[in-house]
Amino acid sequence: MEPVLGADERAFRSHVERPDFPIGEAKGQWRLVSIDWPHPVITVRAHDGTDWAFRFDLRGYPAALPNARPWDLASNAPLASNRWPRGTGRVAAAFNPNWNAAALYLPCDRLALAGHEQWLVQHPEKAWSPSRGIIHYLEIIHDLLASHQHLAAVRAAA
Amino acid sequence: MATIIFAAIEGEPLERFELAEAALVKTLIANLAGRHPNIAEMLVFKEDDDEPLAPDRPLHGHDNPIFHLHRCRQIKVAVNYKSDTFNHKFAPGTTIKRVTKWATKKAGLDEAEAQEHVLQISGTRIQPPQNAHLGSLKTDGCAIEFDLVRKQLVQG
Repeated sequence: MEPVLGADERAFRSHVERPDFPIGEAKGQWRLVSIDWPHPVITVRAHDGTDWAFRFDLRGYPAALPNARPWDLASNAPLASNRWPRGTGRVAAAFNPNWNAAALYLPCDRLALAGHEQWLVQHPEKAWSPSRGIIHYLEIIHDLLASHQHLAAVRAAA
Repeated sequence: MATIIFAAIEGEPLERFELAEAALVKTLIANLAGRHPNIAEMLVFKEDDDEPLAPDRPLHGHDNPIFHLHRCRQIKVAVNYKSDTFNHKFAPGTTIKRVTKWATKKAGLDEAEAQEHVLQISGTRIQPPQNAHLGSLKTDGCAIEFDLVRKQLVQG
């Protein structure tokens, strides 16, 4: 007998089956590694070809905002702060373990938005959109890692 | 063996289609009959191609099997940047990524600066995703206007 999936997991699974997700995979932008609900792991490719892994917390998806943190696939543990994506400008601001090693500093992240509600006015384009779902968060990460403000990794991250 | 493609009709989301191996462009149109009142007027574009596909063109064998059906043969794009406006006509299946690349080149931005800019639909805060097709956006007839804006730093 198969386990009964919760509404949030069913919503996530339906979203990753929508064409925009596999098209992004086919274009090499991201890849679903595992679901292990409520903590899917998805890699996002940087401009230097490095695949960075992110572990999401998607409880209450898609009504509740997601949370993501860089993840070490080899040890199945949070990525050490000194191995996070590095960069300048927008990249340095978003990937800032000194602020919070459990989240990305983005308006679409649940942990980051708390206390920064003004972002919803300042950055509506990065606000969480339940109808677009996980693809929206992935597009924002991919845009950052594809930028030349992201400094190439010394070694592969995922 | 089935032919699997992704296709969008004007502003509707992309859909996955599983067609017969020998499916042609006109097969896709026939399959969609009744789905849209103007389906018979639709042209079929492969993503980022400038010209529509001929009705007898097979749908299998494409590396990137993403298509767009649209009544406009071309969409007139205007991009505002500082005091300049750049104009060009693109096929509806053109990705925002390609239009952005064209616009940043017209603006004279180097690669690093180009990556810090994004197309925003004029009069809105909507910044369509790079994978989106022009034809998926709400156009004024067969025209659309963007502003080329700098990506903002999230801080505070």
